[in-house]
Amino acid sequence: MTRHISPDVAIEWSGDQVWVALLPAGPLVGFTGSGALIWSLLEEGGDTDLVTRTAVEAGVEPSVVEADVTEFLRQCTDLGLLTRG
Amino acid sequence: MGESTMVEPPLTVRVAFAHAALQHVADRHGVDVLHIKGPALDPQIVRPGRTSTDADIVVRPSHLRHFITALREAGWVQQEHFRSASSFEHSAAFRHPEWGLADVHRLIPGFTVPREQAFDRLWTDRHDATIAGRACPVPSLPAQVLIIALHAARSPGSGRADSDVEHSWGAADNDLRDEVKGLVTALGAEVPFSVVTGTLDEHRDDPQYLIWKVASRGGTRLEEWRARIKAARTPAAKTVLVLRAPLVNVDHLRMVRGRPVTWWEIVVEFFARPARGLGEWWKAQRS
Repeated sequence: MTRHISPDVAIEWSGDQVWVALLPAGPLVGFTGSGALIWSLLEEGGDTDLVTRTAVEAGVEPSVVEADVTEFLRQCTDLGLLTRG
Repeated sequence: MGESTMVEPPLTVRVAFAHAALQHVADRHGVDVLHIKGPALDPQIVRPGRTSTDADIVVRPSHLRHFITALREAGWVQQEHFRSASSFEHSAAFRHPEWGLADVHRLIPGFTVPREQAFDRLWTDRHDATIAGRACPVPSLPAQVLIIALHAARSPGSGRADSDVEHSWGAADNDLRDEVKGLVTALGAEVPFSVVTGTLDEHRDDPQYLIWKVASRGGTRLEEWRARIKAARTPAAKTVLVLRAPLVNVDHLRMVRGRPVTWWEIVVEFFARPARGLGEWWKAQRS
């Protein structure tokens, strides 16, 4: 089952940084660097093949980013930013 | 990789999320709100460098009570009563621990047609603006220009407000100006709009004249109350104002002191206010 950004999430890009929050209560968190890159890929197509897509964007092997992508998804899920389905 | 940052978000970001959070509450509870000022403004009338410190919205008057209940349930805390906000009693400040300040309007100062009718007029021509990724209804471009103008009309000496008018009404072409003037007539905003066009004194006989003269040029506390009573549209509204005039604005006193106030402080202020009002009047007479 794939994960997508929750419909209750508000998103504001500010340059290379993205601010996101689950409405109505937050918290408001910001992602920079690779976090912002992974978030942008989530916006484009959910978490399908996310490790591979992140590796392609970063120009490295999937094994290099796999642990970080998994951890990022866990954090976002804990914050309620992602939903399954 | 992918850590959430602990950096404090810029105020502009927090204000954008406040708009989004307010709209989320409105959507969930079937409340009509229009987002005004700040990130809700059409980019073509935004002065460069313009920033906002709070999120401004107008609520359909008949939905207001329901919306305030919903806001409280969503963690927003009301900072003041509507009647404390200004001579026009038009808005109340709410604060949320995550989103900061919101200014919730129950009317736009300057519209003299019934509140629900005024909101309907703005609502009919609305469109969506995207703020923090959320669809937020905003008034039409002519209505935005008018709202900026009416705000400037009660902001004497504000370079920011003057500059806002310069970048909206001042920069508008003839077609846009005609649409704005049409709204001025439809919403009964001739007197306050005349402040912007420099023709206020042509409305000396209008009951609204005095309140906009005080709002745009300043005046003593006594003059302000006289103006409010004169502008009130019904005998009942005038009576309420007369009875409330001596009462202490507890919200204001609390903000000035920066803490809750005691009953004794309210009693002291009750007697100090008339004395201050007379003092201001005396100074005004001598100057």
